[in-house]
Amino acid sequence: MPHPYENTEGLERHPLSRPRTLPRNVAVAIFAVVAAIELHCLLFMAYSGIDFERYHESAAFQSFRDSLGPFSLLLLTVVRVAFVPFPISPLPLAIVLLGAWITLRRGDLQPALLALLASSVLVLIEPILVYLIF
Amino acid sequence: MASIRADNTRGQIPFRLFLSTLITTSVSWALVFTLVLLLALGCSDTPDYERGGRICRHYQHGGFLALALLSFGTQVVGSVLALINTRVIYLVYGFCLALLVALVYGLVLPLTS
Repeated sequence: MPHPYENTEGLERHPLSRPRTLPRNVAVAIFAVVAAIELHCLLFMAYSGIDFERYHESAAFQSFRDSLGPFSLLLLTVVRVAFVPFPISPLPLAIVLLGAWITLRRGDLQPALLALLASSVLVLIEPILVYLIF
Repeated sequence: MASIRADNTRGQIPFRLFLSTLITTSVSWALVFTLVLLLALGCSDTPDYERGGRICRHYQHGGFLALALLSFGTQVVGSVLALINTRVIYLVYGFCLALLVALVYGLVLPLTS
């Protein structure tokens, strides 16, 4: 017995009431990009609440900020939307956009999903790399 | 396996399923984001741990990072399963599990830490 979504026998008699569809790889690619952006904002917002001053002296922050210079802007920038700061990092977004583009071109679902996973892992470890290791 | 992958890769999904997946994921994100944002605003003027209480201390130790990851990750996995298998029930499972994880984590862990 087909699934109700696949069973379109009755609907095919009425062309105007046929449900609109879209290709699965397009849907997965768009969803991967949207989910990566949302996870990105959420994790950085959760990271911003951690009291990192407790672990590091403020002089270490100053020296880190001075040593990186313009590279810190590439690594972590803050976009303010209606007084709410959204820290944005271009590298995980670039990864998920690349995966979505490969999915759109080739039709496989795996690149976008793997890029979403890799982007999530990178978003998760990036502030730790920035604040604790450097 | 190859036939399953081919069936899953090619094919059309209903536009309503895609739209409901995006809406459900955004609603789940907004819930967790509001929770974390309210905690960040509430705990911003309590530099000492005693005034903020247990929840602020747990928050400032990074416990709500795990909440955001677990709750929203559950929702994302459910949405991806719904998109791949064209089943709305995975969306419902994912949203209910995300709410359950947020409730359990947000209530139980700060009070027991």
